[in-house]
Amino acid sequence: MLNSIRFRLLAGTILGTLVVYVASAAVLYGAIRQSLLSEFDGGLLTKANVLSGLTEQTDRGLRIEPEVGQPTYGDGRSDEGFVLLAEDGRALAKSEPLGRRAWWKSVPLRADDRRYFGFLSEPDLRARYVVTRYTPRRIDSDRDERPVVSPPAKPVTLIVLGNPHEMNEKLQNLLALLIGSFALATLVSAGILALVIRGGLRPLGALAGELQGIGGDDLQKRVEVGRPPSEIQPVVERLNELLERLDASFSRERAFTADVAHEMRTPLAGLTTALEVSALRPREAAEYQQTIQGCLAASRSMRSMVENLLTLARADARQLNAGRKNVDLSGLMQRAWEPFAARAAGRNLQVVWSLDENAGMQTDAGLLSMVVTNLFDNAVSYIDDGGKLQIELHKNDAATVMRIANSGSEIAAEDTAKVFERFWRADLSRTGSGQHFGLGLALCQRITTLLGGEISVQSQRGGVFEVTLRFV
Amino acid sequence: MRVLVVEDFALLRESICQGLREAGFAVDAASDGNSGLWQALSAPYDVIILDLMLPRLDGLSVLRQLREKGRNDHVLILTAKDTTSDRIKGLDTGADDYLVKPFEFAELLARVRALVRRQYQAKNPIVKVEDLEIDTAARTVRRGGQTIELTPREYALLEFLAMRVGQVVTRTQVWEHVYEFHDDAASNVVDVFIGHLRRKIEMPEKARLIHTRRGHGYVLGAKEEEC
Repeated sequence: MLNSIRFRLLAGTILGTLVVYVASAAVLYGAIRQSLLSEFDGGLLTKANVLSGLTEQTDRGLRIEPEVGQPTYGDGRSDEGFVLLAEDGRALAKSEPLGRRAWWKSVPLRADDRRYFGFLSEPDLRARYVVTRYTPRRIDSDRDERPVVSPPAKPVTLIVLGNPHEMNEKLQNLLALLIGSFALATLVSAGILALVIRGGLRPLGALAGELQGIGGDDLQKRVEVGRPPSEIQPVVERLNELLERLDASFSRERAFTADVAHEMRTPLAGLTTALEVSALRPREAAEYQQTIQGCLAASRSMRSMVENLLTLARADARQLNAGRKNVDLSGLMQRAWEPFAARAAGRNLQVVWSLDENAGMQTDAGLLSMVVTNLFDNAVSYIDDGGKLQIELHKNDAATVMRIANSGSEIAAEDTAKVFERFWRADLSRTGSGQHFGLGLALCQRITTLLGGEISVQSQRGGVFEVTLRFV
Repeated sequence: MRVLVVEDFALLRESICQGLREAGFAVDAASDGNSGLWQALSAPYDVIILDLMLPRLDGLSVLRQLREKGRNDHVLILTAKDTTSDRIKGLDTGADDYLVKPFEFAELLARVRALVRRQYQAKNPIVKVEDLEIDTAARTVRRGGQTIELTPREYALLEFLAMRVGQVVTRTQVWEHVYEFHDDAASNVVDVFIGHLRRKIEMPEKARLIHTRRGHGYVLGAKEEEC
């Protein structure tokens, strides 16, 4: 589940939205707090200005003129307050918010700053303050109509303390609102995202379902996702191509196995029936001899089929290794011909030899003679009675060429490419003769390629069937 | 009974022919589809054993052409093709039986005998005429509980008559069903064999069973007025 695309997309996008939401909430909160604070500071400053306007230096000392509407400080219960400090730090006038004495001791005093704000954060007194420095007005009292000259005023420091709890409350509400609305937005967008992702991934689910329905036995099926999105389309196409290739190779394999089984059955049936019938009653020695000869021939051809199949299988599994020795090719061809000489004579074949006696080559004698034997066998089997068989071997600087051609071909020119297919035969029904299994040329091609040569076939129906081996 | 074997693998064809001959059948053989069809059309066969994959003309085409030409010979397909669809195709083309290679020869023989019985609408392998018992499965003949030894050719002749009990069988029919293509066609060969057969199964104190219908042929039966 943690590794699903759905989970990754959902987690990723939710994390992303959350980061964006938190950042924008922080910016919004900061901006609003700044503006609220400056508003609050403006209020504090107004109070300070009022107080400083009311401060007078009279001949009797410094006093704050009481006036209607003057902020009421000093009742000790409010957390607002002020203090007027002389240059030596003496408190000329003060109020004691929440009954705190000398609360101003924790306010830093900076002589060179005419006006500044700050936060007082004592354990039981958290407030905003403004510090202003000014020189109070000098009032010459004309009481008793006797002018009195007041001493020159000295600069004082006024600290006004205000509690921003209203602002804090607003900010807290704002924060709650921001967190609440953004959390809600995140939840809603997560829900929408989940739906969108589910919808978006539906084709993938459909694809998986389709694939689940395809087993080893029904590879003819193709993946069908109705109007797949463009991202899935190539996947579907590649999958279908893959299925097609798999299907083709499975069918080839099935056909091959069926062919092998089929090709084995007829000679096997021949063997068993011959032996069964022979065993039905006692017979003359000559009769047994005849049965034995027939069975021997059938088992020999089955053996050669099995050997050809094994060699092909080894070549397919790349377990067939070609050795390299200097081989006398003309001798090899002559030796390979020996087993066929009697058959050729029996069918009155005209065999024409044209061998380059000195032709030699670095190759694997065993494998090459297997090829030549197969070609001779084909030629002697498919040639017309009394036909002409040409066996040639030529070597020049460019290449070594072996050519075996027989008359009486039954293979049309357009079918020459198929002769290398396993179990292909010119006459489709001409199977089960127990003699030829349509493997010979497939094997020849495989081995010739392994030996680094090329094999090619030319044929005219009713004319000459010619196989050429060419080694460069 | 006369059988045609169409099979291109020589060892199998010759073995089947030999086995069938030794079992008392008259057997002809063909090694490709064309000659098989030609032979099947030129003589009536009780059973045709037909391979499917044949040179020149495949077995199914041979069968189809036989049926198109109205031939009702019983056909047993003997092939290496073993899938259900192959069997269905073979039977639907008009085959009467289907046997897959490799097979037991005894089974082939039993199937051929069964087809012969079907040919003559006989279910019981034992044919009884009066006190004559012909067991077509065991190939034994008894009269009055006494076993009679017959040569294969004599047995074949008796079996052919037994399959048509009460019916007139012409010399030509006997010739066609009991003899092979390459047998000598001496004009009186059937009469000679009927004579041999009569000598073996007729008993002096019992009724005659093989009757001659002059100008027509022979009848195997209990009471037949001679013409």
